Amino acid sequence: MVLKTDQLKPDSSEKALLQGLARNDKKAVETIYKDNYNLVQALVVNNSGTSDDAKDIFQEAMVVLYEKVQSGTFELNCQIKTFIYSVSKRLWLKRLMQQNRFSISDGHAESVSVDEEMEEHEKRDTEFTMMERAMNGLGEPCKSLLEAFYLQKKSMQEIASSFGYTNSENAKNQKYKCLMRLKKLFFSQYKNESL
Amino acid sequence: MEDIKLIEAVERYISGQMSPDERVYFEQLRKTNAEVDQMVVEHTFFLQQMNRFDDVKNLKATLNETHIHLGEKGLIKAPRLKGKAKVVYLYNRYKKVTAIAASIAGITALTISALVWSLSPGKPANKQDIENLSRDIRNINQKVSQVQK
Repeated sequence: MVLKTDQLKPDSSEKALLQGLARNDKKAVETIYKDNYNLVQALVVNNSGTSDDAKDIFQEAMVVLYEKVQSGTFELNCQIKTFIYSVSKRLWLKRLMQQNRFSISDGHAESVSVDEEMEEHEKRDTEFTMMERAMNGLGEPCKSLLEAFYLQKKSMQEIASSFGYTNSENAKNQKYKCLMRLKKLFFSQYKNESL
Repeated sequence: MEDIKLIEAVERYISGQMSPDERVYFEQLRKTNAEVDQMVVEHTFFLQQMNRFDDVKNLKATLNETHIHLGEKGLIKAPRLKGKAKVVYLYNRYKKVTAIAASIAGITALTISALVWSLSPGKPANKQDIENLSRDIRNINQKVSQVQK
């Protein structure tokens, strides 16, 4: 059997990892985590952070990477390590700036510009928080009802029987009311946000 | 059209569940009715927001699990769990194993007690029987001692 040389290149295994991450595959997440966490922890801890800060920063950088691969491109213009490190540095610097500190001393690890990704992430992070608030403000059983239909993709019949509605028509009406409430809760924050 | 019916139609349109005819009709409706058009745009955006929220929430859960797991295995330099948090971690991690072990233990206990019950003599001797028995023994003893004399 002839092995193609590009299968041996590190970027093809990196691509597989990114594809795994896009699917929230536990193995891929674990591998990326294992290979990159210590570098980020060293960066944060050496710049007056705690290991809890390091965990927050690293995990947020993973979310940024996830958002990037969600768009369907599994090729970074740099290694995963460089990307995570660069994002983490930006995230940690931002936290430090909130405490009036403006510089960071990093090791000799390579980094790249991640301006675009940071901008996109900030927007998405705001949206995440808004949806979280809206969902939490909704209360039960509305929250579970909408999750069952829109996220777990259960049928109205299944939902009716598991929530104890006498028929799927009633469940459908209730779902509609819940959806309208959730949309109202979500979009009202949008108006406040843009002001 | 009622709002609930309209939302349902919009959702079927977005997810591609409409028949070709219905789709043509709905697209025509979008063109002529700005309100319907706006509803499609808004609802598409909203559903995307819900899905993104769920995806990131699930990823965050995976990340937290991974952090604890790698930390406990010593594969990253994170501080290990202490006290209560550790018990919770171990409990969650070995919940299944514990549940299986417990049910095997339960089944074994039931089997053994069933066996013991089925193999042991039906009725325990009651008081009357014991008295009768001891009277018999007394009689025998008396007879034996008479013979010996």
